[in-house]
Amino acid sequence: MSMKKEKDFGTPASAATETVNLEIDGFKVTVPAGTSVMRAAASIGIDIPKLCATDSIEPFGSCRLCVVQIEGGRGLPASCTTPVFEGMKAITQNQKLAEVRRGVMELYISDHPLDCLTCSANGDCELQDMAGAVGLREVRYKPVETHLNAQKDTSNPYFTFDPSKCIVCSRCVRACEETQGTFALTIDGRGFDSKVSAGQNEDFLSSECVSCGACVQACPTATLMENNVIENGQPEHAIITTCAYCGVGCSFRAEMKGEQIIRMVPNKDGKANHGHSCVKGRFAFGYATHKDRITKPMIRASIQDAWKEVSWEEAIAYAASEMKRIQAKYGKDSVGGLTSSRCTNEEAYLVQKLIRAGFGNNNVDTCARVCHSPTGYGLKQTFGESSGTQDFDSVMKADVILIIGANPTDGHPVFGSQMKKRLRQGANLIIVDPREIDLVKTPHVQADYHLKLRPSTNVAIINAMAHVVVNEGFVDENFINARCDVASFNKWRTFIADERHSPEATESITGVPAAQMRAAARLYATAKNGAIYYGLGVTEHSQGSTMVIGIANLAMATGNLGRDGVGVNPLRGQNNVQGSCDMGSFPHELPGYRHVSDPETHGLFEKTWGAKLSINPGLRIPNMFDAALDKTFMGLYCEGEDIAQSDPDITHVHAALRTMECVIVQDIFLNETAKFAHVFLPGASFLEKDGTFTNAERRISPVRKTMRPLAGYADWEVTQMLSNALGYPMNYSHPSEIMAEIASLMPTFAGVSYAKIDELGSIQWPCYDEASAGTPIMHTEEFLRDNGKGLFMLTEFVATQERVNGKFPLILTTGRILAHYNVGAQTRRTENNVWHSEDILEIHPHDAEDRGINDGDWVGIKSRVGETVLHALVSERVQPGVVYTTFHFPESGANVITTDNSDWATNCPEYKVTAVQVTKVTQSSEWQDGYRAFTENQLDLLAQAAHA
Amino acid sequence: MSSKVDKLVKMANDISAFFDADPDKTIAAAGVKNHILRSWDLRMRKAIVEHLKHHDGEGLSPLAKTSVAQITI
Repeated sequence: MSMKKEKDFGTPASAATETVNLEIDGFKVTVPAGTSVMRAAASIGIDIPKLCATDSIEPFGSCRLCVVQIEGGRGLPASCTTPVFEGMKAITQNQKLAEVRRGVMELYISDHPLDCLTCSANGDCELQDMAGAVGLREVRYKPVETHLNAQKDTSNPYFTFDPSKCIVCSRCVRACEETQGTFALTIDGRGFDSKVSAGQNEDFLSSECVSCGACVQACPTATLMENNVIENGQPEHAIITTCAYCGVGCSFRAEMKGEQIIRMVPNKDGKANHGHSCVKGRFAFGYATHKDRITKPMIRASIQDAWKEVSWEEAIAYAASEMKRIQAKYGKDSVGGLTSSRCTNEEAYLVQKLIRAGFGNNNVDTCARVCHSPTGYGLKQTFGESSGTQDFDSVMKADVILIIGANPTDGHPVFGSQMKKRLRQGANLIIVDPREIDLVKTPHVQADYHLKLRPSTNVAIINAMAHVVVNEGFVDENFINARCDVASFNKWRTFIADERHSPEATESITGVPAAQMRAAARLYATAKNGAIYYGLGVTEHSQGSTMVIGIANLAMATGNLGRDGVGVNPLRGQNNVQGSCDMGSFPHELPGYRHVSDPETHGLFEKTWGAKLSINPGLRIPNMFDAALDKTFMGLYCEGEDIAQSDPDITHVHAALRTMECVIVQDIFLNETAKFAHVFLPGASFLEKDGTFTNAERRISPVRKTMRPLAGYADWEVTQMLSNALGYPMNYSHPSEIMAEIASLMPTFAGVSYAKIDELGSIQWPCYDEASAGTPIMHTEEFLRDNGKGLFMLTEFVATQERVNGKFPLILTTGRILAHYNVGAQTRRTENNVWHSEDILEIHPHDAEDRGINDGDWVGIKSRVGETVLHALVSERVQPGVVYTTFHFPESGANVITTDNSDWATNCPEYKVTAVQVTKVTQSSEWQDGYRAFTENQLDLLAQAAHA
Repeated sequence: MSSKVDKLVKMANDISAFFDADPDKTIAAAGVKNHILRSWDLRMRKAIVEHLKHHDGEGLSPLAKTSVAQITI
């Protein structure tokens, strides 16, 4: 719990395998070739003074503070830009060097405010440290002109730019370029006039800055400083934990002052993020202590009643008695629950255990139902495991990157930056997306091919690419014969070779020119390393699972599996969606993706849990709603999900929730679902508990408690209390005990323990035994199917039943934006609203003109199931015939218009395809008016709780 | 048909549309049957079987009908 800073080696590590021997100040040292003298010195504890160098970015050699002498060499070279060589003898300290450094510092300080005692960086300023290191005692210069009166830029809500303290070292500019890849900052002017500038002399907020914080992190002074530090002072201890936003799962140092969080700083040792962050993880943590947090348990008999604050004992007893009453009245299978991808592995495990062992049925599901359930199904069928195949770092070895239906720079921004780095190094890029995502053209990155397909035609595209692979002789026959089920391949080869799958035949379906499809297929197929990354633009379709299978087929056919730089990589949406699925959150699978009817698995769990378990699959989320309206599902325990906002055809969802006799919501806020609840159990944020999250690369990372739970209990403790009240005993004293049980039951987690996570920092499953350090890349020797062979499956294109016609001529597709996360419950309660304060509808200029729509107009969006109203943004990012919106604000009602069409295999909703009409309107929709009235009423009922 | 049965018919037809790609319709039917058995709640399975029994599986595709006929509760 100390505030020990991470060591800065000055320049990045060399990846070379050959080593070089040298001497620094008489000490012998061996380092990889290509290492800088500065880093070599730092590796043996000799810290050469520096200002413009930091080990997250390439050396620049501008400050001249790090000069050294090399025996036999000329002059005083900068140690940051001087690579070591065999037999080198370097001197880092002598009188001459000291004089030069002092002179350099004197010049810097002559144009720097001497306000150290009142400066926000006091105690955390490299300039201050260097002044001490070089022994600066006086500043002889009295410059006529200085920058001391330069005006602060306070436009960004999270950090302040104070140019009066800037030493123009360019670390911020280089971090923006190299680490983030946005190129929003530059050094404007020359000589004395040189200054850091955001965009074209804009303020930070108006510029292209994405507020990732890389510049703030890189700044050696107080020039770029977190507002929290300015307001509250320096933190005094730090705890390593894992971000609770997207599926990248960045490691952070939560820097604290007592129980107050001062800042979240990306952890350099974090293997998923390597010291980088995005605006959400870095800055948008204010929700955790927002005034809307509910910290007292509440109950009510009906959703028309005011809430009543009660003790934990009363709330738990009431919840348990209601669930028991419902089961007695409607049957054992009339209740169920939802685990959360925003909670820890241990919490998801406990909720599904409570449902299976406590309720006695398998009515458990999770939000993966509405995002990556097709990934789970498709990859389990073909590869034998429901997960992506690579680690994130694998992208740095990819030669061709194929992105399908994903927007990494918005949805998975830290990985998006890593991907951009690889693309700037020269990897080729193919994008399959109906919309022009940022990666199509961004500074120093341009897609080789953007296959701008019509929504819902993914399978036709992947089949066409596979057709080219098969018919033009790009199949990796060696890989097929050695690694795959050859009979299934032969059947698939015959299927896919048929002319109906050719690019020419499918052009009329996809809207993508055949020549472009062929060229893209050839590029991927001939790559030394071809890597596929995909997102919800693949899964959230009626053929989501078919498309995942098609992707797996294509990767196997070209041998792009089982090594660094290749693979099939689902970019999972929420922080722990992989983990919640691993933990047995699906109604047909016990933890570890084993079917509930499998006798061996069933026996193992019955014995370990000491309970009779059902062998029948339970209800999926949409089935729960249908069953509720059929009066056969009447009680729900919902932990950390917001189905009343996130699920499709929301009017149907709301009707189902109103029908249920007991809805228990466990959350940190009165979310949309809680407005339909009868019991509210206050949850804990990720800062208030211990546990683990598993990210999109199967990395199990620690979540560590930084403050006491505001409501008194971590979520796993609440589930345990509920289970005990239901009569199924749980007696864990710490989440590590839950993980030990998980490891004893799941072969892929057998070697996982808290002690090992503490030792290694994180572990990628499969981790089969105590000696294993995990598995960065899967399927290197054989696939995890029973026979070890990859399975090809037939993927016929089946058109969606959601069709455009004269009444609904446009296709609405939905997505997310950088500043917000999922239903927005967290990010809407932060300053991120500065960037995106409402969901808007993107519409192509042609479609806008046809309808007389201008930027900013209110437009009604009407589908076959509902209507809502949003502001319009006329944009060429969408193609004619397609409109686009996000779903981060409940009042937008994006899911009022989405339909109940879903993936054939998993019922993942077809969010990406809704036929709509868009018209100019002057007022909000009837649904929105009703929503506002309902919300006002519910907030009023909440306000009465405190006074009850 | 009730809306509940409508949905089940649609689900069964959607599943069948995937497995129908197999030229061997015995394999295709087994695929549909196994998928329903492994992923549908018991009350849903009962309802679709009842629908086939009492309403001749109105609305079900030929492959879906064949497959549902193989399901025993």
